[in-house]
Amino acid sequence: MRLNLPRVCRPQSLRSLAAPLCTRRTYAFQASGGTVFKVFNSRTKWLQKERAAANPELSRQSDYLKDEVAMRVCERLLDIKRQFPRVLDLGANSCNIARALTRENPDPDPSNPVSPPLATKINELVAAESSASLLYRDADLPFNSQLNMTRHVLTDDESLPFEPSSFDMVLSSLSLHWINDLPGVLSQINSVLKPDSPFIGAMLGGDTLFELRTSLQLAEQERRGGISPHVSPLADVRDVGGLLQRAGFQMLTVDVEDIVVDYPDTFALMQDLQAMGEGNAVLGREMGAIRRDVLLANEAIYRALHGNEDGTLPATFRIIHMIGWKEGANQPKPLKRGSGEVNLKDILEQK
Amino acid sequence: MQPKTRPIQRFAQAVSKCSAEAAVYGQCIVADYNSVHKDKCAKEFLKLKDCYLVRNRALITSHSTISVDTPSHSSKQAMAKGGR
Repeated sequence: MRLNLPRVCRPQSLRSLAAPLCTRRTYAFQASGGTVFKVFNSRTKWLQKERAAANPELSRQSDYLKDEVAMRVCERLLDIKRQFPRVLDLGANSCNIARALTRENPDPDPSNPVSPPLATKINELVAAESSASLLYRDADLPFNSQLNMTRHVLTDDESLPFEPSSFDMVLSSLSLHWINDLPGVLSQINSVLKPDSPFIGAMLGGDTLFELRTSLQLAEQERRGGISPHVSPLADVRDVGGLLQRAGFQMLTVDVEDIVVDYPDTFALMQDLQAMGEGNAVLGREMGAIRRDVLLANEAIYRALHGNEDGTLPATFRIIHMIGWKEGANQPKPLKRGSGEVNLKDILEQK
Repeated sequence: MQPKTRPIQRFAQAVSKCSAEAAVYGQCIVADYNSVHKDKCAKEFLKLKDCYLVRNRALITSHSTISVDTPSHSSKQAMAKGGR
């Protein structure tokens, strides 16, 4: 994917893949070695997850975001009337998806009849995650017995050790935003899927934590005269559609929703982020803790710039949901360009 | 069940008692946030920091005489190693 970008505009972040300044070459060439641009330190990320899982109580307390998003991802399964023999949960965190699948009556619409847990549609769930402590954190809880789940510890987040065409569905909730080589991982997902099987994912993107990003920038700028990255660069909605398409997915659906969480102060927000294992792991960040002066200034600026009237501080999490299908026989396809016989204008004018 | 108060918790607790000074400093920055430079609001910041230092000292002395009470909304760790 990135091979055909010239060296001078190698993307600094996923966002800049779509930057208009980059002129793309129209011919392909094989760049030698080191083609994947590293944005995140995957070892730091692993350590942060292990550390978060070392305190199960705090870690469970701050699982609200991951549980909510996992639930919303699983709700999308209601639309697919199919039985899934083997399903992969990529980047399972603490098996939030498994927990959401075993929930009673998953349909949010009260007019529909009570439906069984979604886990009944799945014969085997493979939960893959690089942090063993996080993956096995809830292995003793009752939901484990309600579905057939195997846990798989990944040695590398970015290469899937599974056979091609071995899964009937791939799910992923809130872990793709730490992947360096997103195009590569998406094509691997496409490859492990059987033909005509869906990939349903959700990741943080776009304006996630823009309040914290801006106030920390202002605080560092004013206190220290310069800034260092504290919030990850994230993929934008526009990029995700293109990425899925390049990975070979068909019938794409990409949509966004914002979840705004109110916190009493910035320290509570940062504590929760740390307990989620979502601390800063950007390569090239300033090592060590943020200085107290900056934290003090940040608290004041966040409150002045973004604070709610009731004294709480909002934090936005922008979730990008994506659905793509692996190409298969008998799949509905768009007709050829110019083959339309009905003028849309006529139909719209009749109304 | 709370193991022990982490330093950052006490920091957060002390900062929360300086909301007036924090508001003044925040307003100073937000008034023109497109042209923030180093020490633009140094005067306001030093007032905020003075307030924090006083509150922090008060917390230390109260903690040493009275048994440790946990803050209402504990902000345990914002930024230990590798944190944001």
